Amino acid sequence: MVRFFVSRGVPIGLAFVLAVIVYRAIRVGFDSIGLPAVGWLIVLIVYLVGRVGFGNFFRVVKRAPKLPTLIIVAFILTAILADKITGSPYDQNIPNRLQPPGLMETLKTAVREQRFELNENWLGTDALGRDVLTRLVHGARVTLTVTIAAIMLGQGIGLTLGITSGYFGGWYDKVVMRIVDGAMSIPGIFLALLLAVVLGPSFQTVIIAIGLLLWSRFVRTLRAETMKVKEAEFVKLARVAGCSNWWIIRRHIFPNLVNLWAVLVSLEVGVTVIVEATLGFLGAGVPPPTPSWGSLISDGRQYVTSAWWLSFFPGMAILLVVLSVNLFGDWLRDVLDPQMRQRAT
Amino acid sequence: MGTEVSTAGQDTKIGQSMAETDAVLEVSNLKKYFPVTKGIILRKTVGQVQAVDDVTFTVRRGQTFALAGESGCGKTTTSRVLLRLEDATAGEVLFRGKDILNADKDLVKEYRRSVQAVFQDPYSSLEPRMRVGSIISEPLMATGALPKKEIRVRVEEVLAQVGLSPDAANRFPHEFSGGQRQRIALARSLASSPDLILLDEPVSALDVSIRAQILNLLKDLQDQLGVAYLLVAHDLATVRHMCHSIAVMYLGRLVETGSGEEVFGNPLHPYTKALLSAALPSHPRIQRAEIELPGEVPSPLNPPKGCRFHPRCPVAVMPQCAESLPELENHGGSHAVACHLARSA
Amino acid sequence: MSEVVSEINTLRSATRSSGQIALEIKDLKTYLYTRWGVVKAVDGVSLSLRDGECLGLVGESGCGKTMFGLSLMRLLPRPAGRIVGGEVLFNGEDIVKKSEAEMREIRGRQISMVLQDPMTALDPIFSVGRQLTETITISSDLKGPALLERAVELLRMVRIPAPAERLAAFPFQMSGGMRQRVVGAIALAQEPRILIADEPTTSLDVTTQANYLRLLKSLQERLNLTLIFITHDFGIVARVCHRVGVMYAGKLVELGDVEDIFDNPRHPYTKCLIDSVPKLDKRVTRLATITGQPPTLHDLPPGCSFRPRCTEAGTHCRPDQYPDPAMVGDRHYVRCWLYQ
Repeated sequence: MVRFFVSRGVPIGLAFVLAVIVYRAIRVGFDSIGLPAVGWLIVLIVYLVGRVGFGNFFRVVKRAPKLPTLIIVAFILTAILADKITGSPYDQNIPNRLQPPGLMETLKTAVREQRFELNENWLGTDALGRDVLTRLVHGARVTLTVTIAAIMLGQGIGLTLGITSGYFGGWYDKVVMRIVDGAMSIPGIFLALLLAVVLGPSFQTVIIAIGLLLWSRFVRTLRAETMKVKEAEFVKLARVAGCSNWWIIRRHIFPNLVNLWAVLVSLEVGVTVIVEATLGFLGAGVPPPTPSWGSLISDGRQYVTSAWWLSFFPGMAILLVVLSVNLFGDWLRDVLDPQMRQRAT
Repeated sequence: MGTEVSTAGQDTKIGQSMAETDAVLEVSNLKKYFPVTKGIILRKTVGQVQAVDDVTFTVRRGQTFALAGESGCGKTTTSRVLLRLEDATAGEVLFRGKDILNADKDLVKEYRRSVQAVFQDPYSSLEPRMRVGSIISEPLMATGALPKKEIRVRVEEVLAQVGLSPDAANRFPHEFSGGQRQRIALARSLASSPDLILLDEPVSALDVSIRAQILNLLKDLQDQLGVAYLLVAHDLATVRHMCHSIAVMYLGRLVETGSGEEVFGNPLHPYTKALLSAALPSHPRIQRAEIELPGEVPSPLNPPKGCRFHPRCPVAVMPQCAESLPELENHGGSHAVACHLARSA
Repeated sequence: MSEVVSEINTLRSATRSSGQIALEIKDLKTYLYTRWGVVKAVDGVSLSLRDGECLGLVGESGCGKTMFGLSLMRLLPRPAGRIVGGEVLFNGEDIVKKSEAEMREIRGRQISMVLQDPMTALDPIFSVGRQLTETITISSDLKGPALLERAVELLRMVRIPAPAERLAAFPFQMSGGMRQRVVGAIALAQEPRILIADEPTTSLDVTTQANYLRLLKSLQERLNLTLIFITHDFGIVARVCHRVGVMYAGKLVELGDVEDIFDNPRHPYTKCLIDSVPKLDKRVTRLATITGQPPTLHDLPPGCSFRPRCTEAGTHCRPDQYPDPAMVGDRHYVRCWLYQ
């Protein structure tokens, strides 16, 4: 019973709670997800420790790329605890507008006038006098939610269709693949803009648009891999042993796709963050005044020559997070492979 | 079989009545044709690959039956059909007297439990992501053959039978060498106490010194457990060492069948003779008169008219060789040959 | 029958003794530097080969026989593999000391190689003719029709039917046996003196293998090739080779003339290897086996590395030292404590 709970119950439960969290984030607003999300992360870590084994887990984690992991953890914590760290991102202070980054100013005054005076706005202020750091921190929350939700949507559709069409083949596979061809031939940004026009620019629209952009790539890649795994002799032997299709998919196909899946997800995190930023930049993203990293860059566009910090810091944040996630994904792929895991430790 | 009532036909009937006591698997007139299609949207069947054509043989309890032949002769396709990985085009397969090609669910389940397989490649036939214990117990779990409590005990039992220590159950396949992996594959096939194990080139991927270990183990297990083997192999020395009876296949058809002594002691079909002469000598001073076969095995898509072997046959060809397909005819005991020349001689 | 046999034997020894020394290997050591430690893939192998001689190099997978072949070609996997000691004398010059540019002159023209898998040895996107002519032009300045003629001649030499038409064929249009013949033709295109064949028949069928071995044998005799045949099958050795070297864990444990080795195998490992093969002409109820698994080369036991698996091991085996080669017959040596 305990075994059953650990092997089936926990992953299903985790997926369910994540779905609830994302749903609440979309429907009710980001402020309500902090505590459940932290709880979810803790359960996930405990589950992984149990799965990999206590001793193994720490050996494996020790080999994790340190800086990227740190950046990802910081990004997630910042997103969850945004309103605890900083104030409201909407507080305007017109007289204090377009202040340069405070840290630098403090340094400058300290050097020039031998006077130490701490400026409050570490990363400067925007055209309405709002603190850039505060908006960046709150933007992380929007970006994280959009990323998780869009990828959940995209990989969910992609994984289901990819595995089933690769495994069962036949006319079903043909139909799915033609739909995928169709979906891939539509430019993603055009689709997102179209959705923004039809549904109106909103948080949900961005998620749906990015989800629809992602799913077809997952189908393509996972289907090809499924077809490869399906031909392996252990799958044939499983059929000889009397295993059902569902059993084979669950116990043989999926575990052998997990590597690729983890890499795809981590790559698509980068794509999602960038697409979200692009949509924000084009004005089809999360509507203002809600800060998202894309819209922060977009807002700073007209001041690029005079107030570089408006676009620079969100840009750097995107760069760091995308890079970290990609490096982290590489490590994850190795950890999920028993053979590589042994080598990595 | 043919229109004329041949002696072989009568013999099969006598064989059947005798076989009721000890036949595990009776295959009669088994055919497997693969349609060759043309066109992407409007598909047309333009031909058929006669991978297996009119194959009849019986595997007896506790004995080894060998299907020998070169690649493309249809021996692997035959084994795939018998494992129900492919559907048969025509013919009958009786397992302990019950037809399994048109079996209901219960019978299929029983068949899955009673017939297991070991494949050639010990690397691709073990799921790399499962521990050895789970790999071995999979046939038991999938068919519900044993209550869960007893599975653990059974796994240790079969591991001991193949000469591995019980702690192997907790390790991953990649920690084992090729020979040990083949032992694990064998342990898995033994787990559900089958009546018949299909061995598809079980040793040809292994080193010579390891081959001997596995062959000895297979023989010991047969003596202990009374399990029948259907051995599919191209190496005649291995076949001779293992088998009680043998069938030699060429281009989808049986050309010669009989007990090991009959076929190896007095080969009658020119193809069998050529195969035997091509086998490697055991001493440099043994100079066999080698029979060189001209050309290569033709494509089974357009098999030659008449005897399928006649274009390469090194013996003087009679006119009927190119005209009519020879049937298996009895030559004393269980020895049967499909050759016009053997009949006239 | 016996007359024929003795005739063949005199023929064999005649070709052997008359030839000049083509290749002399002295104490060759090839190590692989991996992250698990130093793998002594080839650890002090010495032998010499005459022109027109065929040496069979036998051993289990992982015994270093492939690395030995690659060392002679200086094609070791980089950066892990390195020749750390010894000499390979060819035409009086040491191959080990040659530069990469000088090696390119030797590879293909002087020493050539046929690999195990004919599927990957040929480039699937170029026609057979193109791959063949490309190799020919490396060392000759043939052009146009003369070049094609030479290619056809090579294909005819490896007995490919209708060679002129086959030039336009792509590898996927040919069977495994035909492909392996093309690989052979490419290897022989520049008329090398030494051919290293690394398990060229493992992926072939029984009758195809017999044909290929017959072809190789006749080519070797006709071109007076020196052949190093790497295999794990004593049957192949019995079929084509004059001399046999048995490798175990990077060391040559026994070397001798083929009949001598089959008649009087001295090393316990050689005995087991010969007896563990099922034979058509001799039926036994049980095969001889070698207990245990082949050793991992980066973690060898001290002393004789075969000792843990050896049935004849005993107090005569010194635990700390590897036995030196001991002559046990004419041109037959063995490295085993039994014969010290």
